[in-house]
Amino acid sequence: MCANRVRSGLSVLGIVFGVAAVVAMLAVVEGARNDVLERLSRLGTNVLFVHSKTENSGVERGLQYGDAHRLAHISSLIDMVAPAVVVDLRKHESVIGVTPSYMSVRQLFLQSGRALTDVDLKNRARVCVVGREIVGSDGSTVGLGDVVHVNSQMYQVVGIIASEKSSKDRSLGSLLRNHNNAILIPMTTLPKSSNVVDDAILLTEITIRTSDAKDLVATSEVVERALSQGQLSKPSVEIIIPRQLLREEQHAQRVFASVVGCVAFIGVLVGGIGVMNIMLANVAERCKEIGIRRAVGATKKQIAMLFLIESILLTLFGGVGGLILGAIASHGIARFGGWSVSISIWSILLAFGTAGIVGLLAGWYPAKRAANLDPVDAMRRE
Amino acid sequence: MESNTNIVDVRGLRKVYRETETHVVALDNVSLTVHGGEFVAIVGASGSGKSTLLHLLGALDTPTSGVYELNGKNVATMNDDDLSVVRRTDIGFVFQVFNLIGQLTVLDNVSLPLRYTGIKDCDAEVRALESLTRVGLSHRATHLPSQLSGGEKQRVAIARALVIEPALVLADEPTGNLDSQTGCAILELFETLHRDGHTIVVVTHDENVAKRADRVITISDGNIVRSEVNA
Repeated sequence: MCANRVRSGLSVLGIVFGVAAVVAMLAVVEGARNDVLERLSRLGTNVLFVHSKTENSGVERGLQYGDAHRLAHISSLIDMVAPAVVVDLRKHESVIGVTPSYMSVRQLFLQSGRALTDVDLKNRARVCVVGREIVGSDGSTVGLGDVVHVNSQMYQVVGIIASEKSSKDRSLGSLLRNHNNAILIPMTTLPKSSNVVDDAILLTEITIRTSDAKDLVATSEVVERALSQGQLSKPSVEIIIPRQLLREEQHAQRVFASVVGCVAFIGVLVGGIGVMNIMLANVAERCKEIGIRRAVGATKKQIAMLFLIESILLTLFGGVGGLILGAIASHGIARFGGWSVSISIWSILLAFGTAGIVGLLAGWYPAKRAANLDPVDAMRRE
Repeated sequence: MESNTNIVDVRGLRKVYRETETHVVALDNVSLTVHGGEFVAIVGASGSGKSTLLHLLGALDTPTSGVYELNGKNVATMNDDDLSVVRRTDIGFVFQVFNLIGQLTVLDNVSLPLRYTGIKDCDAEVRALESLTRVGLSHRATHLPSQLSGGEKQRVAIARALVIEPALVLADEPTGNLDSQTGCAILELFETLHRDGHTIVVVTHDENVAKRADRVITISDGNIVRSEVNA
């Protein structure tokens, strides 16, 4: 093996690429799984979104506060409803008109201060709860008691939202918004809104929390029926179940993983054949050595082990190369593909396991041939 | 130094090589004994069967029929694993073409038989170095065989044969690849081993080798035709 480093190196290239593909595939699958779990944990596994498809222009009926009010009472499946109006009035910052249930349904926590209350809503109090990255007019981060300007109105900060991990989520879009840059104000204080009891306030979305994650599909059907019942026209909405969206994304990643898996399989197979070939050449070249070893007392098993260990070592070297290449490839996928990737200890073990097993299988036949050589004949060969 | 104990006891040994339709009788009803400490030379023309006999005595091959007892063990009926054990515990081989492994150092070549016995590496190296000292090559321990002269290679091969303290040293034309001066030095080494009490069987064409043996056995057409004790 050491005597023919270049030849041995070339023969394990297949293993290197195969193992690299295995590592990259597992990194994508593992990353996608972690990503989904992280996003689900942020959104909650038991939420669905009713998202308005129209602008607040009024030609086509949009989602209204009255819809949210009705949905809150139509079924025992629905635990809580959080209507919201998102107005991106400030650069890089979202102003969201909400009711007190919003933070609870969205699983937002306070770092300090208090949340918005029904009293704030009713009194149209000019108060707000802000994310940690909101800055005041002087450029410094705002704190409790500070004042922020929204559409030339002043709002006093009464609460700071605990920092959230930012996300570059594509499939969930604005639903998984970054609240670090959000200003939550009572919905009734939004420009143009008239009154909290005015059911005609046009909403951007309603977030609905169900009692049980299993009821999401049933709840979405109930919501869809409820939105069209007793109304002159059905609002133009889209009902989104994050878990289903994520499943679609996961499916796409699984397809990618399957393709890469096939590449990995072919790579490992070709690599295995390469290693077997090099080991057969080794046996042929080292006939005399095998004969000498047998003559001085090596058993067939000891000769077979000599070649098996060499074969396994060769593929393990390939495994190390594949692991490094796979890590680089995973990094590339993460950087240019925008997918989350994660190399777990299991994928490292699997990479080495695959390399070791390929080494064992590829080395078995050459080792058997070496062991079965007749010592006298073997010593005569040059 | 010769004792009455038989190290080699061969009775009615027969070796037939089966080819597709013909049988080649390489050895036919060969019987011989070699006492402990005896130096025996086996001579004969090419194809007479002397190499076949050496391979059988060296447990590298098994006879078609007959009895072969080495140091009291019935080798003729042993399986492959047991033959390997006999080779690494009772037999030291010296070949005409040295048969050293080119990628291993002199020390590793000499310690090779010990490594198959399960002895610790460090102990094996100590014993190998002792064996190299006996043949006067301890200073070459870290060299590769390609860095040695023919005579040195053969002395390394002898050190490898001696490292296991074998009951029987077998040599196949040990001077065949050496010039006469180096050959003489190797023969003197064999004589020293003989004086130290080693049992030696040498297959040779070289009359000088045969002259130094206690007994010369002549083989022809697979049979022992003569056994003469040198004066």
